[in-house]
Amino acid sequence: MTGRAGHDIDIRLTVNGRAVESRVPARMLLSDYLRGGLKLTGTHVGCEHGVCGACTVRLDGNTVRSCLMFAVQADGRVVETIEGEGTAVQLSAVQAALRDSHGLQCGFCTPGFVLTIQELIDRRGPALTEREVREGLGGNLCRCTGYQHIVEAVLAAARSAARTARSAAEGADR
Amino acid sequence: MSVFDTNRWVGKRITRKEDPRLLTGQGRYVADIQLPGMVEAAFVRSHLAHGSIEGLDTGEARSHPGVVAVYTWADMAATVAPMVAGTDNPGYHACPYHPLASEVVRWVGEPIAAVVADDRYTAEDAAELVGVDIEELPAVTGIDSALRDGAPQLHPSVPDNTYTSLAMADKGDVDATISRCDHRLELTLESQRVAPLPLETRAIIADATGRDGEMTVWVTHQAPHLFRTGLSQALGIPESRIRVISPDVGGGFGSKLTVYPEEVVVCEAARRLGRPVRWVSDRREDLMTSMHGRQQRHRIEVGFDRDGSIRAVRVDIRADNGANAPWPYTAALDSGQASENVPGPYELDAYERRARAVATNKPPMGPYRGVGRVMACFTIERAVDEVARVLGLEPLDVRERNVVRSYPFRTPVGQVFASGSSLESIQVMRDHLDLPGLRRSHRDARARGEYLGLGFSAGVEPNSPGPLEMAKRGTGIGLGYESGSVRVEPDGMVTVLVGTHGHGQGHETALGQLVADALGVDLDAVTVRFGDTAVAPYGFGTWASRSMVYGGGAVLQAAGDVRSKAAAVAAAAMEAAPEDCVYGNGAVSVAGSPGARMTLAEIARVAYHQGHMLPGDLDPGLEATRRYRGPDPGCFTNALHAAEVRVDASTGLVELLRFVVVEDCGVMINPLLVDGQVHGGVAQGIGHALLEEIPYDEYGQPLATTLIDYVAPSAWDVPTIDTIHLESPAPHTMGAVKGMGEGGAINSPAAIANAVTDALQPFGIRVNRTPISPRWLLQQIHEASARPGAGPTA
Repeated sequence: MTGRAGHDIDIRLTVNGRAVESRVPARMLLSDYLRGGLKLTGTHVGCEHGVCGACTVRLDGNTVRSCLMFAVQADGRVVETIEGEGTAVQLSAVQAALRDSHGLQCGFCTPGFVLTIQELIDRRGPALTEREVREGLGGNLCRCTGYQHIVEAVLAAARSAARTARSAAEGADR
Repeated sequence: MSVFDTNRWVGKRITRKEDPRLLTGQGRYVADIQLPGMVEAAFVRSHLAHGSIEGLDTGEARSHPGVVAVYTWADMAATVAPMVAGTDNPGYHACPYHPLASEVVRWVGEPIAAVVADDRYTAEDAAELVGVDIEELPAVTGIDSALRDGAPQLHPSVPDNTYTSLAMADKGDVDATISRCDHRLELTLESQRVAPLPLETRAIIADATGRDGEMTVWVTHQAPHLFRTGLSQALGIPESRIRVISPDVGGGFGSKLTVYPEEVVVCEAARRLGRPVRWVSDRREDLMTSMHGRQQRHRIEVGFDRDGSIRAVRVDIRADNGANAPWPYTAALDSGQASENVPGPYELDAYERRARAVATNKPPMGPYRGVGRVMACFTIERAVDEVARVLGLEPLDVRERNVVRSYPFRTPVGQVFASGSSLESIQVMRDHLDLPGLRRSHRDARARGEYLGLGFSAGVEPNSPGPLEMAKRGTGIGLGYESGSVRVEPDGMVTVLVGTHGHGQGHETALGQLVADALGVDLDAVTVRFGDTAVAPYGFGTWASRSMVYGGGAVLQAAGDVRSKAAAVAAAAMEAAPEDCVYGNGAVSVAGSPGARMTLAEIARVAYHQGHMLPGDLDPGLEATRRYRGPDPGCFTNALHAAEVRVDASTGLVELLRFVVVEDCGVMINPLLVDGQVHGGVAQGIGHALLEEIPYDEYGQPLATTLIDYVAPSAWDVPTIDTIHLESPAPHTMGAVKGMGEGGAINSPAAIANAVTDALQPFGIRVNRTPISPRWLLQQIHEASARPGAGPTA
């Protein structure tokens, strides 16, 4: 689906826990490969120049902008997209917090935010301050919410992650 | 009878029905849709602001492998008509808007040719192979250059580069009133070109292979039926043979309300090729070609007395409308709406206005959140602060002196505020801020060389314009009603169909709350559908914050009809006298017969499956469709904003320390969603005030075509917004609601400009323009410091 210029390359990667093999044009963006090739359309494309963060995915655990990478650069690596997070009937804690705080409106930027927030919480957990949250979200643009409800959601999710971790630890102690 | 059966849902902070799919990446936006056989389009665009097309060579592109077709205007002219945004109003000069440039290009980015290929990569490759020979013509890139003698003219049908101009003496005699006033002041204020910038760029898929030759169009749009009407004019297809689907839409803010040139071309290509054609704009195209907003210059003259009473206002407005006008709004929209809204919430003895819409070699301007109102509010609110400065009064006191005191209130231009709380909001704000304490702390800070400031902005957000108000625009399409259907399904679940369109506002939830309470059922039982002309009744979509007043009005009327019919069906089923059957709590009971009761689900089962039980004059089924005409001239939501800033005089950076909103939109259907609208609007206002601008150079080249150059606010740029709600019920709408989607964006730039002006009092700098960029502010600070006797000595 992506043109005749250049040559095609075989890639193997893991996407949302599943092994995938594809033959892709060398110039195909990772975002286009995920959306068009793998039909994972939850990764959205908002600027194609690495500013808006809508296309954020995790690569070997770190968030990256899939519009700034070629699919071939994901060869041999582990990619996680929004489709690997919670489902509509079983939202992840971050997704549930965004719903509870009204942290999304049109929803176009939301998948990118979910992945960025998850990484923030994975790294900093309940220690996250509002300042850190606002700084940590600085690479994701939302045009609808004014961010306030998103920030509230992140802080709530960070607290609930701490509670979950605590009760899991207590369970392990018993 | 109340429009509501229960009060379980309306007024509650309820999380949204639309969220689970959007949170999990299961939302479906146009670019997510793939159809068998689909090909993709890319556009060749003008690289010059003004020029005559001397030659187009499409040969190489046509023979490029993977290319399906290449179109120029010469290829399309036989079957496609230019769009024309006209009005019956005298003095308006319309002009054709060609889907692909014909002979002349008028702005950088104007589409010249379209390439359709197997995929987008190939289409873009081939687009680069189209040879374009344009002879450059002198360009007019601003209001002054467009209006000077001998200026190059954009359109033969638009004399003096002026689409329209108006001059109205709405109330009193401004000159005579000013001559009796103690003081007079004059200000010139300027607002930049900004982009509405929804995160989802423009996107469309057209497929002309449907039944009876029907064309199906998936387009990211705020008003699918309106799009259909416009497209049918361009393509000469009966509109009933076009089905428009606007699925999940990634924000609009006004920019997705017209029919754009590329959209006409894609649909025509699909008709000719007999296969689906898709175009998804990239961000650069979107910044260059989606309608811009708000570029205006205002000159205001104010007469006022020493007690702070503002008596007379005259405003002269010029809008830099760009090279064409969006259908159906015309180029009169921006400047005309601004001229109506300059009086704001204030009682004036005299008001006069002039407004002129100017053609320039830039992309067309169109509606953007708070159209005309943002700049109107900026102008009057800056003027109010200058009145206070001249008199040495507290700016909030000057607002208190002049603001509307009793309702209904008729403004000089004939707006009627049926209810409101502009005066009360001032007291609420004063208490909330501890105003004297805050002013004192700022004076102390200034003594330490720290520049803190506080600014206010009071405003009225006209919304949901009525049928006669809309008809005044003379565009031939009176957008003054809305349609809604409520259908109780055989299983008792409720389907709501509406002609408005939600794209972030939460309509599936808010309209669901209205209907759930109107019928006395669970919110989970109600599904709201819109955005498909084959499903929803004919309606006008979402703009002017009309959806809760209009869409809500329509579905509430329909729900009322459904209740009446449910009572009639239940009467037949229970063999009771219809007049004894009472609807309550989602069921029908029979007066005087305890235990005789049928739930809505039981009634629906009879209505659909036991038709033989119904009298001959009662149709089976349980649904109703209604059209709702909103009140004229419309609804008016009031708000008061306060911004506290710190200005770094060494960098020119403005830091927002605090932002407070007191707003009143009547009855709130869902305060959580109202807060979200306020926050989002204020964030866009902050962007407008401090960050966002699409500048053009002297040749008409855009200088911001990426999100690196066009800076939209991030989480870092927006402070926590304290939001306080007052509720003055609308006496004339269903559910007593008013619209409120735009106020956040309308008031905020003025509040910030007033705060920065306040902070920089020691320099005597007046912020009469946006954006308040560090570069501009630093220059003002340097100039002020260089003036003899000036500088930060306070």
